Amino acid sequence: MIPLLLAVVVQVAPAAPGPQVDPSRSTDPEYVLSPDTALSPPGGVRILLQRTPGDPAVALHFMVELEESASEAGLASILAEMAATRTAGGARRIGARIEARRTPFGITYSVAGAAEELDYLAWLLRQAAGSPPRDDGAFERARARVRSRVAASRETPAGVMDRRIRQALLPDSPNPNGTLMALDAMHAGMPVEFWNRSHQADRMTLVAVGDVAPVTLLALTRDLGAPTEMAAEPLTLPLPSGSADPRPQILRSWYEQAHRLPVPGDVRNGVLVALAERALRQVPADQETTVELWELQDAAALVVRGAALQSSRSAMEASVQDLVPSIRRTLTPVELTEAVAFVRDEMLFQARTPWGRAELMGSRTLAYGAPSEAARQLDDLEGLDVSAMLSYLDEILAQSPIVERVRP
Amino acid sequence: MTRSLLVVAALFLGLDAPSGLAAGAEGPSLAPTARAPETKTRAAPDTTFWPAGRNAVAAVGVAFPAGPERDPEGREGAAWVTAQALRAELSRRLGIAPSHVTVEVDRGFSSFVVQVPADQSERALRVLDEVILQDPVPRTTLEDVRVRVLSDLGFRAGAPTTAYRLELARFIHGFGSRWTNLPLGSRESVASLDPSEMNGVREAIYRRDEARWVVVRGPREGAPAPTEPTDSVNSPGAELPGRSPGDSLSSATPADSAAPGQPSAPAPEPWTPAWRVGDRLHITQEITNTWVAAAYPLDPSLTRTEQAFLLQALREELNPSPPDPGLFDSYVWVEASPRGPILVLEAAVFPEDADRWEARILDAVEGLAENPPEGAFFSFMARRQRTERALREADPGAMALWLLRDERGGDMGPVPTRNDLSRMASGLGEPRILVYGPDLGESQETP
Repeated sequence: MIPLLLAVVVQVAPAAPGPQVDPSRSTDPEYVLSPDTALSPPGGVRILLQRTPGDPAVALHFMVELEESASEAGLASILAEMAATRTAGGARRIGARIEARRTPFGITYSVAGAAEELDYLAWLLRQAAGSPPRDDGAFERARARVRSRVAASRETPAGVMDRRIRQALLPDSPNPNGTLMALDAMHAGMPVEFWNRSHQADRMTLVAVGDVAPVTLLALTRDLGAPTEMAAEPLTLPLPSGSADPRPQILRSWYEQAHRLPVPGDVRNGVLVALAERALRQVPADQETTVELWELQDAAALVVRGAALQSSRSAMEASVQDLVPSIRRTLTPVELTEAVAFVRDEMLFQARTPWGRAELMGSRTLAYGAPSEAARQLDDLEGLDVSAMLSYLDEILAQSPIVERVRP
Repeated sequence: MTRSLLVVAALFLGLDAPSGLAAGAEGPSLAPTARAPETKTRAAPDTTFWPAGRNAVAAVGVAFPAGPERDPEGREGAAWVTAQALRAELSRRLGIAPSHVTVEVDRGFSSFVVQVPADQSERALRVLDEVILQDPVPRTTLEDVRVRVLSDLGFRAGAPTTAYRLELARFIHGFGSRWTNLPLGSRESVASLDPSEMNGVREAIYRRDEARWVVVRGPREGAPAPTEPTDSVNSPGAELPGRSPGDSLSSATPADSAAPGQPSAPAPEPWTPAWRVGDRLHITQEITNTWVAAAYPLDPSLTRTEQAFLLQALREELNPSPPDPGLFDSYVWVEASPRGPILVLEAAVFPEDADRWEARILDAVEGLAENPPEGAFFSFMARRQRTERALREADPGAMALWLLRDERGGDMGPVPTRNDLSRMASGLGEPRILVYGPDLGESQETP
């Protein structure tokens, strides 16, 4: 079998670089954020490998791109919940890290542990990402957890505004967190049907960081995913008509504004968030303001949220509305340099562990295509100047923001 | 190339020495000692370098064998307030998020670790030296922290856990000992702290001659080989003959062949335990739970690896699966004391379960000594320890903290065997037991 797999490596990736580490570059950020090997077997799982000979730990980050129909909204979260529960005991037995999580792009399954435990970690990963066994109890428990999170978000002003803004940004895409209507209509057979449809090998990517040979990863991903013929159309169950948002009982007025970001994945988005966080430090203490970067499947937005009592409501709304314009008016080279350094440091900090690095390389590759996207973003950061940032801010301000309010 | 040599090779990074340090004899330095022999003797006498592999982040830290026990009388909480102010200063001066600065303040131990881009490790080392040991802490920073700590203490006022922690410290260290100082101090003592006095307090707690430094930074391989190891660097494993940090743990698979109680290692040096006679004290308090704690003198010659495995085994014994319905939480830790390290096992339980848990804690130690887990149970325990170590070594910040806690400068010996576990548990001193909670009329005052 091994000679056969080696032949596959040679066949599909004749130009892939060898698994050698360049010690002179081992602290070079671009080198640290780049995979060494990229394999794309026909009809198989795409593999990215950063090989780190001698490292005691290994991380495997497995991503499945998927979309849900309106009837399936929340099903991927249920699959992730069931996978996490199914594998928690096995991971605990050797002290390994394991996680299954819904992301804007699909589901990720991650494991990390000692390099000597690679076989066991691979088994854990296949358990997590494999077809869920039909288990009515496990399904009901997972659905209850997902439903509880969705219900809780409907009771908060931030949750209500977030959902409306997301709907405005992506009107044709169901909320990946799930909807109560869809969750209530699901049955225990749906996770298996959904897995068969969504977990196709050509939608899977494995990112590995550690002292692992490519052939091992090919063996790990062999036969992973549902047979191609199982890829059916999305479920379209009839759902009851939507219920109105509940009205949260609140004391303060809430205001949320979302600026569409012209280029999802652009490093300037992160820099803008850093500049916004800095600017919000000047907001008076009687106003609560936060800023978030939303990176959704096909869109990105800068979301600014504020809350204040009636006496400060107008001032709070003015602060939120003027945040991006004020950054545009007052941006200095020093501020930009500090914001760029902050974004760069945060990227490096996330990448300081094998599992963080695998996630960063994987998520950027999935979102923007190229395996070395994370490294390219670092490069873009280095070259960012005030004029480029100002022109980007002009593009953002040329579009009307999406606005939501919740008042007592 | 052995890992020890690789560790030393971390010195050969071609980094420039910090201008203010390379010229002096006191400060830490990343100066390339072997390439520039003239700087060899100027390197800090107690610096541990650890290779971080392929990593763009470096962790740089410093530790001192001092903590709240050095708080001036009536100024308890000074070490804590100072450390938090220094943390804010490190974040500000290095321009990094506060979450990238880790501060620990325990009895007999304080540490500061910063995680920075690897190309800034030299600067981080210099800033650590300046902020912790040289520059006055701004009065406003100290005052901000003091106000925050006061607010925190106000929130904790009257909390049973604070009273219990004080009683446990008195029970272990002796009534009136400075080692019973609570890290946060009290509302009165923190309120009396004068920011203008704090820099003097800092100098008493954080002394340059007691500082131990650590640098965790790439590369792991490929750096030019050193011509000779230098005395100025504690290479991990260098002090532990036969224990190269790079040893594969798989080659140290725990052996179950010898019977428990038959030491597989040479007899350790005799040591003087913190106490020779056990004790038991029940302090009655009308509260809703009971704390049960057992403190054992611990052999100071145990390596960090051995300590970690002993603690893991005991933690797992006190965290049964499925969970015990009478248990709120349990902790196992090693507490520093002037008389040597103390192993503490603690459980917060329902009062009606206190007697059962007292017996359970004592049985956990006795069971480990007489009949440690075997077969698959032990194998999985050893694998968990191996994973814990691998994950720690993969995270520069976690590795720096581990190294700073290890006075031997980076013991990464093999996972101990079943017999080692038995030896360590049977080598513990006599327990002192503290029960703190309501008296339901069932507990005994004396053993």
